[in-house]
Amino acid sequence: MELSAFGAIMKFAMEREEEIAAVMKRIGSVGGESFRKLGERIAADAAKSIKFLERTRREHVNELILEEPTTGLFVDDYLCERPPREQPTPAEAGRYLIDMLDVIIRFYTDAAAKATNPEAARTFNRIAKKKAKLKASLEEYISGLE
Amino acid sequence: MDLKTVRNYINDEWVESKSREMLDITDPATGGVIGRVPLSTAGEVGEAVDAAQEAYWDWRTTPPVTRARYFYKLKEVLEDKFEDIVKVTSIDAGKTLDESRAELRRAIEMVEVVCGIPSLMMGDSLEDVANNIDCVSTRQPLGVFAAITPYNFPTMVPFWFWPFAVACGNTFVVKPSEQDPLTQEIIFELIADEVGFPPGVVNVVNGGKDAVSAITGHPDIKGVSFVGSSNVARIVYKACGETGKRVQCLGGAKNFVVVMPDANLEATVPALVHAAYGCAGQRCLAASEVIAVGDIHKPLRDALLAAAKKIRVGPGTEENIQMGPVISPEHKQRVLSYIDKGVEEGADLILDGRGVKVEGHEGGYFIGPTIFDGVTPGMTIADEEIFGPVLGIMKVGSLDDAIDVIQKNNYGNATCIFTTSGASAREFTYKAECSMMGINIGIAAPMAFFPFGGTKGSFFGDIKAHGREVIDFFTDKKVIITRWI
Repeated sequence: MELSAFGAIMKFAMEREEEIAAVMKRIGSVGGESFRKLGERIAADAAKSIKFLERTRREHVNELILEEPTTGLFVDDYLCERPPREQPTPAEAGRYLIDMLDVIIRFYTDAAAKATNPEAARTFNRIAKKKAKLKASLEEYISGLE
Repeated sequence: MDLKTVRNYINDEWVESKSREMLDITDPATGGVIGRVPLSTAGEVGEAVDAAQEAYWDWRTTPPVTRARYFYKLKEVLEDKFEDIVKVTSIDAGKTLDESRAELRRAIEMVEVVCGIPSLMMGDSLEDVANNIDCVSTRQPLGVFAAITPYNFPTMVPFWFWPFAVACGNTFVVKPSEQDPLTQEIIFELIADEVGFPPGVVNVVNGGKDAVSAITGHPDIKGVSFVGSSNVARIVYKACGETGKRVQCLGGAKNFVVVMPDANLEATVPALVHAAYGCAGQRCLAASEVIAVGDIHKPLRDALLAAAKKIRVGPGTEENIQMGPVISPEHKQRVLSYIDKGVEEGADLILDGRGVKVEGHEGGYFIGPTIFDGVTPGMTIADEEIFGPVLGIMKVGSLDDAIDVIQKNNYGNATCIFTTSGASAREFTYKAECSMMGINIGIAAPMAFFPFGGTKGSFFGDIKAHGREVIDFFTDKKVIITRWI
């Protein structure tokens, strides 16, 4: 399915954030203290991103350019294929989260480039930047395990 | 959504109408009944006006800065319950979720503007207009105002008027459209519960023709704002004139979009498609007729056809739907009869939306995107407002010919031009007789801080909706000349 309407793009982004928060809830306790803290940061960021996306959807829906559709954003390109097993190792959990963040960063980057609304583009870029920092922290954590 | 009977909100109380006449409110996407609306009586309008009159003096003497604070609170409440209101509007009016969001945003923008009422209401002064004599002009509220609003923007249009009037110190009666009154019901529930204007400052009366007549004829109402068809706008204008009221009546439209041979088609087509089919064409700013100048006709026609075919039609409550249904079965029939008329009169129907089916919503009032080519002035579909997802294409030889078509039409609401030539854009905006103009934009909708309204058969009155000058509509300019002895 192509995401062309402004609200559909925002909803998809929020659903991905909810997914990240849900995954963190499930696998956040598999590692030690440092993984748990990292997990809390990721979950808190997802919650904050949802609020930020909600605000953007509320405040920057502009009738003047509302339905000049966005093209080339397809749902299937931004879904994570491989759910983590019930009791993953810390390394597996970390790698899965990195994959999730990778996908969502790619989504936000693509959506920012295609968005007809500049405020929405700013929101996507800002969230993508934060996710990239979290991803770097996770990579550092994984490399410490290996 | 539960089946509910909407109530009147009078003197800070929710009151069930005593009227025996009720209309069903239907979900345009399913045709199912979702509520009932009373056709309130003249007596009930009178009760609302009495409450507003009673509340007037205390409210009028409340400092503007204090009045403004109610609107700061209102903004906060509307932001907080944003998605709740949006969902109701999408069911009530059949709009897509994004369209409902956009109109609520516009309503909030009105509230944001009136938060500046202490500055907006300021008057003027000049010392020494004669020796030792100073002159001050001040704006004073007048009393009770009322608005009669349409179905196509059930959230936004009431906000074009009542926040400005009430912030100025007047009191108010709103009569929302009887076709989709649930949106104002939820908004006023929030206002009653969380904003808490003093009793009688703002009131809602639901109803139809009798309520309109009661408003236009009521001796205690100082002014009326109306948005609807031009036929009814003329009637309201006349009736208000007879009872000495201030009046602003925004009527219908036939909006022409001129596409010049030098237009950037890549940017033009998406804007045009949105302008034609947004809100299923049910807006007074809908692009209903494209005037293609010269050789751009064929590539423009082909691109419009391709884009219109891609529009996803369905229930507005589903995210990613691009066009919802029209408001009622009667309106659907009216639009379909215009399409039939276009065929009869010889226009070339290149995209026919009459048979559109939406799976699972067979009872909905859907019409697919429709395009006529070969439209000429004098055809019914070229001259009259259709208020549905029907776009006509005309071909002319020059910009002058295009402007001539616009000038000869009875309406003068909005028009747009797509061109990369500054000279063409300037000539167009200079000559075309319409009040809202777009250059390389399809929907020329002035925002809250600019005036909204047309000319010719699209507007009856002199002061338009919202913007700085609507403060003049809702206040009297009193001039005080003082000799200091």
